[in-house]
Amino acid sequence: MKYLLIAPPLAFFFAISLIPLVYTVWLSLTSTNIAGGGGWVGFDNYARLLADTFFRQAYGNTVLFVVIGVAAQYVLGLALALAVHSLTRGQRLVRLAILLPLMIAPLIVGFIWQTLLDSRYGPVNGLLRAVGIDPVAWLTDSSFAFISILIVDAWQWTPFVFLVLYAGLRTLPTEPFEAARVDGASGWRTFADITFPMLIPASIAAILLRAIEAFKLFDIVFYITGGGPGGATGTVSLLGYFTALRSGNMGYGAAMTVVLLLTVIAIALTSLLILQRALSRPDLSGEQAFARRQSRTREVEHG
Amino acid sequence: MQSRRRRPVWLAAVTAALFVLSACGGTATSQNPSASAAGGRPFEGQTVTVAVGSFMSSGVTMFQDAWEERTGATLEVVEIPFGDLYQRLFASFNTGAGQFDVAVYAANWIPEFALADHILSLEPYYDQKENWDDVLPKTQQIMYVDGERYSVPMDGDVIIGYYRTDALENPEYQQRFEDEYGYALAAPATWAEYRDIAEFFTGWDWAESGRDGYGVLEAQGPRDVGPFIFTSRAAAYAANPEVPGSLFFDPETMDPSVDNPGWVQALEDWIAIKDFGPPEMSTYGGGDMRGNFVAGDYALGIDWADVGIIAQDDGSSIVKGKLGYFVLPGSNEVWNIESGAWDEFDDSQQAPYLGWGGWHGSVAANSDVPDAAFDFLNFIDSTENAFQAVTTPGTARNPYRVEHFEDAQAWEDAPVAYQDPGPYLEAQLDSMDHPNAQFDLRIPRAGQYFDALDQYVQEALAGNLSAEDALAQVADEWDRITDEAGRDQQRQLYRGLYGLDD
Repeated sequence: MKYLLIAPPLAFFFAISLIPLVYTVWLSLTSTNIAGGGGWVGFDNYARLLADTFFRQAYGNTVLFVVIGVAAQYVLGLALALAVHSLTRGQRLVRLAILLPLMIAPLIVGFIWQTLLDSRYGPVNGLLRAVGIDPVAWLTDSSFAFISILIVDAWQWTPFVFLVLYAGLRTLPTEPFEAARVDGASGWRTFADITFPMLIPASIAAILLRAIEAFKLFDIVFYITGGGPGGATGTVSLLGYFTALRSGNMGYGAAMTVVLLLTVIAIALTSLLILQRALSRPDLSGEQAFARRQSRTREVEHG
Repeated sequence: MQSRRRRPVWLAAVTAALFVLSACGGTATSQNPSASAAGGRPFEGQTVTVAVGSFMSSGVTMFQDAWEERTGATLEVVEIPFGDLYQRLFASFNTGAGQFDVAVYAANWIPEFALADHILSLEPYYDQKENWDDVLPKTQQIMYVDGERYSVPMDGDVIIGYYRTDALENPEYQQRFEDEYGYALAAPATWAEYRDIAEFFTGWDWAESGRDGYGVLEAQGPRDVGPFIFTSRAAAYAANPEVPGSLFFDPETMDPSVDNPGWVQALEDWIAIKDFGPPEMSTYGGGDMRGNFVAGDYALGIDWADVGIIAQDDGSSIVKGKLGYFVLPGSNEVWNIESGAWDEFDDSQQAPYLGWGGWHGSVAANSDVPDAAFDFLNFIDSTENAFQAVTTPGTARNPYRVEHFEDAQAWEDAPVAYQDPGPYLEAQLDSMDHPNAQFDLRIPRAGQYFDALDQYVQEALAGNLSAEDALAQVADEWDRITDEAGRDQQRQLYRGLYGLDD
């Protein structure tokens, strides 16, 4: 009977998730073209990917966007979460202000930042000029275009990291902090020994979710640079889209998304492994600090 | 304590699993001629669904009410983002999902859709179409596949040049230019002259606007109209009038022409012209180019006829009444693929390029209401409605009928209120009637060929590859695409475009 009960959601799950996944993998093993035709090619598409300079560049860009972008967003999000958590007044207002970019559609974000970063009319270069700095080719120089995408992505998604970490901070037990205060620990020691270790589960969740999203980076790049100049800001998602849906090379485009999927799976599993190990270590879960505090309390009670 | 430690792991695991799973993530028989003209409401109760590229939709919807009133039918217009139009139409044709009765799309795709039997031959309807003879010959030509017409025209596309008359026709600047370059300043006849003019007008306030002007504005951005603009330049060097059909491929072997010295010269020119435009030019698509050209200080520009129309809008344009027009420049040297050498000509050899081919409408082969579908297409292509559309800003419909070019005064009186339309119409007509005018690549997988061209040309524009290396890579890709599609089939179709016998 219990199997009958879960059958409908399972069927739904298969229909919307597994079938498209299996279809995509099958597609990646064919030369299917949107205009029709194409047949089984085995792993030829994957072999071609290895030699494809555009794919290699897009893959490298994607990994760099994830590594640099998510790291920067984590540091900023953590700093914001700690700062807002320590506020005694106006937390709600500040929280709302920080979360605003998260509520804007990525294409609108792209439009806003394309305007801001325009080298001739954009206010960013206007500010630079006002302080005597030469205008920067934010979107037309390969290096700066890459940095621009990182900045825009951070502007939109740091609030998400902030949200997760801030929620994590609010759920931390108070005992370890009381113990630290009794011990006379400095603010830095409290952060390094208690806050940060106890935030590791929330941190890994935030980083994992952001990394998964960042691997799919598309909208902002699509609008602001279109992957240029010369592929400098292209991502696998963008290239897969253009290959499969603009050029009509469905099989090859599918192979790109499967490689992206495998990469995300590998990273997700690694993150989960790290998380599991972290949670099994008392020193990283706040238990050690809590135990120290109890031990010290006992010592005080026993004279 | 135990449960508190487990929860994040499970949450993360479920999240990851959900991501993993989601990351992938009645044939018509009747072909009766147009009936609405016969009177009454002949299609009462029928619904015609029209799929149209987004920025062209107003050229269709502006006639919706009138047609519905006249026929009793209902029109449903589905706007599809321009970039997704090709794949959405194919998906619909192949799967029947989101079925359309009418598709409004690029003329370049007509052969591909017709050969796959996705669209109807409209020959049975054309017998009674009254204004066919007024369609420009080049536009007529691209509607045929195997001797039958498969579309109704709505637009005529040819890429032309624009210049600012307050720059090129200023006597003081003309004198300075002649002193500096040794010849008279005028609309450029060759790409070398075009470059000189662009250089001359870069970096100083020739428009007296209080800011430095630029010599040129072209759409060089990725994944947009760049390949069309670049091809319009390459045609001058690579479309040899003595060797018809040699612009894209060798029509004998289907070996790509794209890596020959003519194309390389064009790409070197295009890379060099970046110095005379704004930095953002390398990111501009067609829309960006048009909006900026009419609002800024650029001496030269290349585009379809759209800039001319947009320039008439007082709200967004500062160039109304300051535009000159020219047939795209040519070259005195043109590459000959047969001799493998440059042919020298006394006069500049122009090769106006009919890039994109214009918007056309076809009736889907699986439409249940083909008569009503054709009737709607015929209605929006009626002589009166076609003129109204091409003289209304924002429709993306450019002149394509003889009468569109005959009465300049009508353009001044039309909604667009075109200021001095004569030269504008003349440049288009001269381009389309030019004996060496070049059709766009109209064979299956044309999109793939152009995407490959775009990718490598972008690398060259960014300085990552030389022009020669970039185009050599394009040629390799074009060979691969040709082999994948079937070289013999592609060769036959390509030769057919140029009327070459096997």
